[in-house]
Amino acid sequence: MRTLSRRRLVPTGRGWDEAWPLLAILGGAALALLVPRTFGDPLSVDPNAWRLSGYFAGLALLTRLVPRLRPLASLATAFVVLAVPFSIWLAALAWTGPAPGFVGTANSLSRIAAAGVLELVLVLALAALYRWRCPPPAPDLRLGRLPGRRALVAAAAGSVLFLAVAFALPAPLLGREGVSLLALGPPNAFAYVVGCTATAVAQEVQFRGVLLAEFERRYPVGWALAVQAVVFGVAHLAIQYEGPAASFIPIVIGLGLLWGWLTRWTRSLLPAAVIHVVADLFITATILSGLYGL
Amino acid sequence: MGCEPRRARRRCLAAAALTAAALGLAAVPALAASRHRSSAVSMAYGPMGPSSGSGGRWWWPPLPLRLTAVASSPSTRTLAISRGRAGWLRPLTGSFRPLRSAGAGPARAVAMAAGGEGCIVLRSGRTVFLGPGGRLLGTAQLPGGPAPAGTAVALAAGAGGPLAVVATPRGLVALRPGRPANTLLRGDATAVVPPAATRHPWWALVGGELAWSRSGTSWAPVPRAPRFAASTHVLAALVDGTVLVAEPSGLVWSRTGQGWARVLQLLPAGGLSSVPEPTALQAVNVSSAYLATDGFGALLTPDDGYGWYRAAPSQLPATVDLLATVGPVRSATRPRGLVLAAGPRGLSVHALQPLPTPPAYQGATQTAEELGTAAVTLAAIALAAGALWLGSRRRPGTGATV
Repeated sequence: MRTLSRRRLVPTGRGWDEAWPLLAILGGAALALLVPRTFGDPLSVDPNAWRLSGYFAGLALLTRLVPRLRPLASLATAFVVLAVPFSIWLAALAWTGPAPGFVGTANSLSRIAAAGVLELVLVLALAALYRWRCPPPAPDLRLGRLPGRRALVAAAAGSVLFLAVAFALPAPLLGREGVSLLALGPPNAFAYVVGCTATAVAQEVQFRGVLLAEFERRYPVGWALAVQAVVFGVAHLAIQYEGPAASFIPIVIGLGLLWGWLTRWTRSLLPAAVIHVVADLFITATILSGLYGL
Repeated sequence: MGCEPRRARRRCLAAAALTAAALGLAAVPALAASRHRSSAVSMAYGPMGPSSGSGGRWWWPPLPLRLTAVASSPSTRTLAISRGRAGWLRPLTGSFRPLRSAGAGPARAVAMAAGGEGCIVLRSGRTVFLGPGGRLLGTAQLPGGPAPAGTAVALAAGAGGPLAVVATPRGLVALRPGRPANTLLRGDATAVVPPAATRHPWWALVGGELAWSRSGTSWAPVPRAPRFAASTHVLAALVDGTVLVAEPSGLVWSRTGQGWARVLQLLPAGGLSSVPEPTALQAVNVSSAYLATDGFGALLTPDDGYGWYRAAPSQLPATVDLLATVGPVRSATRPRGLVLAAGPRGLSVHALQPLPTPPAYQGATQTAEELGTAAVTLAAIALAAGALWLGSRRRPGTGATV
């Protein structure tokens, strides 16, 4: 049986030659993200990170148009699947223009739930587009098959293990210091559950579905897992504003590594998605934002 | 094969040159935008400390002062107890000057009123009243002998002079200078707070039951209030009328116009550790309060207990025993002053500041910032595409599957 590790592009040279495109793409993204901080506060000018989406979209378009860069188009497109739904999600959360009544006002609980569902729909659509436009070897997004027994057991056991470890670790390390009972009361809990579930599943499709599949086409399995985990961790810097990421980012990278391995081992996104949903609900419920100074 | 490393190095150098060029191009709009940089950033974050050398620390490093009690004061100095002696504390300079005359002797509790009056409850049970400026107004004696451990005091000035309400394990006692003591409520009184504003009531915890008083001299249980744990001693009254009570189990209650609600539950510290115990609550501003804990440092709520933040987790020690404020922190128009947090590691001081928010750019500044950001994005696309172009090369079998 052909395993996924065999479905890779022919190695064209040394490891450096394979890594070069990824480094170039990510280096440019870092420039687009960080340089504006030198002359202003990007959270005020570009709160929805459109510069990141614009960068990846522009690069994906260029790589499709320029014949010499076409073999890299799928790599650039994979990052479009990451960035564009994130920007649209942020924009939907804060949208103050005309909107259906059931989605509520900007940043309301109904809006959190609606924006999460919108992001999930967008991610699925872009993932399908990426899969359709990707040249052979076709990436395996692990979306189209029913989960087996191994995936179901891993999902349940992984969730329990995550909660056990999260409560065993020192609370200040994670910021797991209290539950805001009023903010998470019964009227609000449903919206949070819907919002967290939708965004968690969307992230799994993005990182362990699209990104991991694309890296598996180009790199050895170990590198594919490691790099998608690092990108997953660094991407979570975008959701922090007030606090340092000393412990949060390394933990997220570790989780990305674990979930990537779990996805490959079970050949399904279900375990990672379920554990991610549990993790997001846990974070929403128990982790208090840190105001470093107040 | 020996050419491969040299070609790779040349590509690296070319990419580095492209990077430098792109950054240089991006610097042009950046420099243009910086000339229009708004002062909103400095306005939003406020002063950082008594000197510019604070280096970004918003809670100043702990002063080496061990305090067992500290009062909230409207001015720049306050009463505190260090090594059992009461004295004047100036947080800005870190100086503590023990009282030599009337307030000399081992002390149990201190309090200050909005007008600058102060009172010191000595271990002997004698209570010393000081006027604004520190002059002696008179003394009173707690009934039943020495003031036991756990004594707390609140002070407010009224038409009849300063009134001190002292919470002791024997009960709640009212004291005025030169007058006999008046026992208000019997029971294990663990906390008392003065009115947060004009025409607001006093609040006290007696045996786990919340009591209130308009005048400070006649008290009654608060109707429909929850029954708290008997050892609950953490209580605060906010300017907007909210009352916060924190139980030893880590559960925090809030009383607003809509009644009582559980607003926060502290979680276990991890592993086999228990829930850190709340040690103090201090109101600041109109609807904000700090909650000190024995293990989680301090937490902050800006909205009557609805949402909570960790206050300076990298700068405050994990154990904070006492909280107090110095200055007009409860002003509705321009709250300012200092927040004091005392614990085993000393006294930490923080200058009250607004919550951090992104600056609001407008007009030409906004346009310049947007154009600069767009230019940087385009430059990054060009740089990455150039790097990919340099790195790409035709190889046989590209795209085949193995």
